[in-house]
Amino acid sequence: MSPYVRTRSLGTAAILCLLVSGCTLQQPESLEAARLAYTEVAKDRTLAASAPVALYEVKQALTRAETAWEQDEDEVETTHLAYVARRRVEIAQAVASEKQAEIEAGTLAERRAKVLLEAREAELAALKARKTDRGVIIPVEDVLFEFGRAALRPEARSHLARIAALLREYPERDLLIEGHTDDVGSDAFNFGLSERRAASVLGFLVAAGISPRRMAARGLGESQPLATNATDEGRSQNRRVELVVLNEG
Amino acid sequence: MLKRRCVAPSWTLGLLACAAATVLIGCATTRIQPQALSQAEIAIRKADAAGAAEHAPLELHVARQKLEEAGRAIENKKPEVARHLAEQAFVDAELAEAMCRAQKARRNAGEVGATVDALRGESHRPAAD
Repeated sequence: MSPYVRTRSLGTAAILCLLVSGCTLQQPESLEAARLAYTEVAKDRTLAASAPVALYEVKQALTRAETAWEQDEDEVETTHLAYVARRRVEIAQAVASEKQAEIEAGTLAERRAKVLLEAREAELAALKARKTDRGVIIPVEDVLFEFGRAALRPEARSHLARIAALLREYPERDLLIEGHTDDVGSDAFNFGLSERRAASVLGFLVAAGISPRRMAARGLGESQPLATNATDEGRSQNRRVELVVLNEG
Repeated sequence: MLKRRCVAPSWTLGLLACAAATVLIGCATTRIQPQALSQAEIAIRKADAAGAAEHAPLELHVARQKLEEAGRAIENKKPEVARHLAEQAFVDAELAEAMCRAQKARRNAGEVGATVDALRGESHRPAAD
């Protein structure tokens, strides 16, 4: 075939093609749109890190569409595959969004744990708790009891309620409630008073919803002073009930 | 020239061959179709189970519609159209499911964030009376 004839037939074909809608010489818009969507999403580094498999599936879907066009110029098939590719782009975006939200939730959960821990530490400090090798000791001071008796004063309620709330944060720990006195009066009297005071505290905590199975109360009388019994101040300190949050195990 | 051994006339052989080919092609396409359709159906059910009716209702609806159309296309003897619709229903359903998961994850992160804020606000407990 002479070059002249070939050119003429190509030209004719081109004109004919342009006259027909859905000209097969020009690639479908949907394919271009799919290619563009992929290019945009492939630039996103966060997405590439969060949804690598989904992104890969976009690429594969796009390749299938490109192949359908390059090899067969099948417009229907190409348009279909391009649609699939564009949907896969949206899927990749959704997967990335899910992943990012999961990461954020993890970070926030850590922050929450930290805030809870700080709050607990602050509360322990406010309650004048001290840490020993037995466990954490939370004091119930003498002023909260009626003078020389085991009954709790009304103003003790809110303080003990606060302690109960804190104890609920240690559900797995056992509690030992130990009553102490100063050395004024007989051993027997002091033993009895310290035991009844410990029982008062235990009674309040049970009523506040703390499981009695976790708790034991006992009196130690004057046997374990905290401070000197020679001064008012010292004796006042010795007259106490201590809540021991026992260490695990 | 070889003697013809076959007794039947040549046109019946041709007809038989055509019939056999049609049946075989028909079998091949009907074997492909149920698979594409059932895959789409499974994906739609998965999306529904993930909560797409609430979180991605539009995409779920589109997937279901296309699956229905695919079924009709098979009845109308249009296997290629059916395949396209089924494959699109499949990817639409996968999108619905992915959107669901993303929404739930975002909601969860929001809830955890809210608890952190609430805790921060509460960090100074009321003093004892």
